[in-house]
Amino acid sequence: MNNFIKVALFSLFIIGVYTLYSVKIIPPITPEEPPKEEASGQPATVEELVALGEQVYNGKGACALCHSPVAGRAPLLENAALIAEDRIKERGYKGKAANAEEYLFESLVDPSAYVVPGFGAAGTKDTVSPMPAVVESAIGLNRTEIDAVIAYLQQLAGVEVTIEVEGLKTEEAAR
Amino acid sequence: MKPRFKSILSLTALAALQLLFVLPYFFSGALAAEATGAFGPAPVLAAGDYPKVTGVNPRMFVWMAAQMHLWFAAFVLAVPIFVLLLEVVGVIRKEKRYDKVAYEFLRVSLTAYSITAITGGLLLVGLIVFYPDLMKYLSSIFGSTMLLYALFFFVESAALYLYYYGWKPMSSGGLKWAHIGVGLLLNASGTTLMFIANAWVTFMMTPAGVDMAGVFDGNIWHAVRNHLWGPMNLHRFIANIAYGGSIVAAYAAYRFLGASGDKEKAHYDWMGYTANLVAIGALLPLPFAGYWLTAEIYAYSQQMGITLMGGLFAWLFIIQAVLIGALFLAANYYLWCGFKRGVNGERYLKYVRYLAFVIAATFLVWFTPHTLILTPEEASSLGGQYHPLLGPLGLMPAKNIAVNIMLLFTFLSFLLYRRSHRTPTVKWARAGNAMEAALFTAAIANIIFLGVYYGYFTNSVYKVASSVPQVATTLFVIAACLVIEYLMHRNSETAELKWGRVPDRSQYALFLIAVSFTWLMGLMGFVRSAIRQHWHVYSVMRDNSPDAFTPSIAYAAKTVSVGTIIFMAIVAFIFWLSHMGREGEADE
Repeated sequence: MNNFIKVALFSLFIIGVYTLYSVKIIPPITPEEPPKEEASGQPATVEELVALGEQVYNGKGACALCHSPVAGRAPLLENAALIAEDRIKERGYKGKAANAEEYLFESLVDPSAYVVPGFGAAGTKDTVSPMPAVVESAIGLNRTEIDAVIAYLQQLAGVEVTIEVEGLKTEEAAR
Repeated sequence: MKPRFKSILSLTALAALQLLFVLPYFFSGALAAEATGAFGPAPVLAAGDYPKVTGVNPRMFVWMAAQMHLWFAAFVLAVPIFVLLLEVVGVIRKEKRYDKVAYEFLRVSLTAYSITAITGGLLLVGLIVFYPDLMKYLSSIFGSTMLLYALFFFVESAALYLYYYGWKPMSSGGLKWAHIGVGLLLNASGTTLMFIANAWVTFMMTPAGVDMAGVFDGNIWHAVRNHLWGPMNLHRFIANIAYGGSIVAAYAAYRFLGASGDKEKAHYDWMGYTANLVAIGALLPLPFAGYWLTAEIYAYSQQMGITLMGGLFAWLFIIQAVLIGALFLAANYYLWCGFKRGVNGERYLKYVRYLAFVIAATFLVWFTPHTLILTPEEASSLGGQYHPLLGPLGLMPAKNIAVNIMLLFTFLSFLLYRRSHRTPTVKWARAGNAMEAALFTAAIANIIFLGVYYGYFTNSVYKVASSVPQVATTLFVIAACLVIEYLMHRNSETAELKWGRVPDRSQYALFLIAVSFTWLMGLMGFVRSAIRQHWHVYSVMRDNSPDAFTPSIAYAAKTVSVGTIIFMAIVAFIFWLSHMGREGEADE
C-alpha cells in the first residue's frame, strides 16, 4: 500500500480513537444554560431579598462552589449567622465588626479578618483566607447583592433577618 | 516575476489588508478615547447586536479560524528556534549535516508561514464581521499594541525571507554570523508577536486595568500584564517548540518511509530523531508551566479555577491524561526501537519490559477518575461514588506522583539510549552508575513520600502545594544525571550510531506523537477559552449572542477532530510542496 495512504489511515485511526473515547466513554455532561442576568431592581420585601440572596449564593457569587460538603474547601455556612457573634470573640479575630450582621458583611468583603481554623491559604497558618473579596471584579457583587446574601444566611441559620429592605423603609416612612 | 518575489509581495499585501481591517477600529476606539481623555464602559449587548450571515455559524467560523491560526502559528514560531540552534551547532562543530537539516526544516515552515497569515486574516475577518462590538471594545484598550503587532509582522516577514533566501549566499565567513543575526531577529520578532497577541487573549480571561464596568484606566501596561500573561507566554513558548518538533519529526518519518536508499534513510532517521528529541525535551517542562498557569487562574478567580479543574471540565483532564500518556508511551517506544542503532543497544533491550511496565502503571494511575459514573444500584453496592481502593488514585496527589515518575522513567529510557553506543572509560564508571541509581531511588522515594504524606495525611490545602517540591526533585535528578553522564562519557569509547537501522513501525510512533499533539492543543485551547463561559471578557463584558452557551466536551472533541483532519490535510499539502521545491532545486 502507498505510504501516504498508510500514514493517512493511521492518523485517521488515532483521531477516531480519541474522538470515540471523548464521545462514548467520557460521561456526557450537558453544561447549564448561561444564567439570566440578575434584575437590577431593589427587592421590595424580606422574602424577595432572601430569594435574591439564595440566587446570588448559588449563581453569580459562586459561594456554593467551595462552601459545600462535596467541595470541602471552605467551612459550611448553615450556621454561620448563628455563630457569628461567637466568632467576634475568638482569639484570631482581627476585624472591626460589633455584631453578627457586621461580621457577616466583613467576611464577604474582607475574608481574612477571621479565618476559620483549617481553612487558611497554604503556608499562612490560617491568617490569610483563600477566599476572594466578593466586591472584586472576578465576582463583583454590589451592595444590594451582599445584603441579600447576608439575609439569606440569616434565614438559613434560623435567626432574625436584620437587613433592612429599602422598599419597606420607604413605605414605613410614608406612613 | 520570480516566484519568490511573488510570495513576498502576496504576504505583504495580506499583512496590509489585515492592517486595513484593524485601523478603522483603532481610530474609532483608541484614538477617540485618547482624544476625550476618557474610556467608556464595556458595551452591554443584546442578541440583536450580533450580525448574522445566512448559513454561517459565527462561533464555529471563529473557532475554526482561530484554531487553524494557532496550529500554524505554533509551528512557524517553533521551527526557526531550532533551525537557529542547529545552524549555530553546525557552525561550532563544523558539520554540514546540521546546516542541511536546518535548511530543510526552514523550507517546510516557509509555506506554513503564508498559511498562518491567511488563517490570521480569516480570524480577523470573522471577529470583525460577527463580533464588531467586542472588537471595538478590545481595540479601544489595545489599539496601540495592535499597531505594534502589525509592525512586528512586517519585521518578522522580512527577517524570514532574508533568512531563507540568504541561506546559501551568506553561508561562509563573517556573512554566516550575519545570517545567524538575522535568525535571531526572526525569532525575537516572532516571539514578540506571540506575546502581544497573548496579552489580548489573557485580558479576555483575567481582565486587568479596567474597573468592574470595564472602564479602562488608560495604562496599557496594566491591561497587558494581567494575571495570565506571564504564564501563558511561557506555556505557549515551550508548547510551540514541542509542537514544531513533533510536526518536523512526522515529516522526517514520512520521508524515511519513502526513502530510496540507505543514505537517504539514514538522513531522515537522524532528522526524525533530532526533531523528536526537541519535541520531547520541550514536553518535559510543559506540565510545570501548565501548573503555574492553573495556579494563576485560581489566584485570579477561585470560581474560574474550580470550573476548570473540579467542575464542568474535570473530565476533560482525564482525556488530557490519556493523550499525554499516549505521547509518553509513543516517545518511549521510539527510543526503545532506536536502541539497535548503537552497538551496545542489545544489552539494554532486556530492561525495556520493566520500563514499559512502570510507564504503563503510572499512565493508569494518571487517568483513574476520582468520581465514577455509576447507576444507583452500583453506587449503593460500592457504598458511594468513590471506589474504596481506586478512589484515592483519582486525587491530584496520586497523579502528581504518577506524572513525576513517568517523567523520570522517560528520562531513564533516554539515558539508556545514549549509552547504546558509548562505553565509559573513566575509573569511577561503576561509582557513577551507582550514584545515578541512588539518585533515581531517592527521588522516587521522595516523590512518593511527598505525595502520600502531604496529599492524604495533612490539611487539604497542601494537596496541590506539595507538587512543587516533587517537580523540583524530578528536575534536580534530570540535571544531576546529565552532569554525571557528561563527566562520565567525556572520553568514552563511542561507536558511530547506525542511522536508518530502525524498523519502519518506529516511524508510526512519530506520527502518533504529531497527531496527538495537534489534537491535544485543540482540546486544551477549547477549555482555555471555554472557562470564560458566557463572558467575552470575564466578569466585565457578557456574551449575549445565541452561541453564548458552553459546548459539551463531546461537541468540542468532534470539532477538534474535524479541525485536526483539515489541518493535517493542509500540512500534507505543504510537505508535498516542499518536496516539489526540493526536486525543482535539484533539477536546476
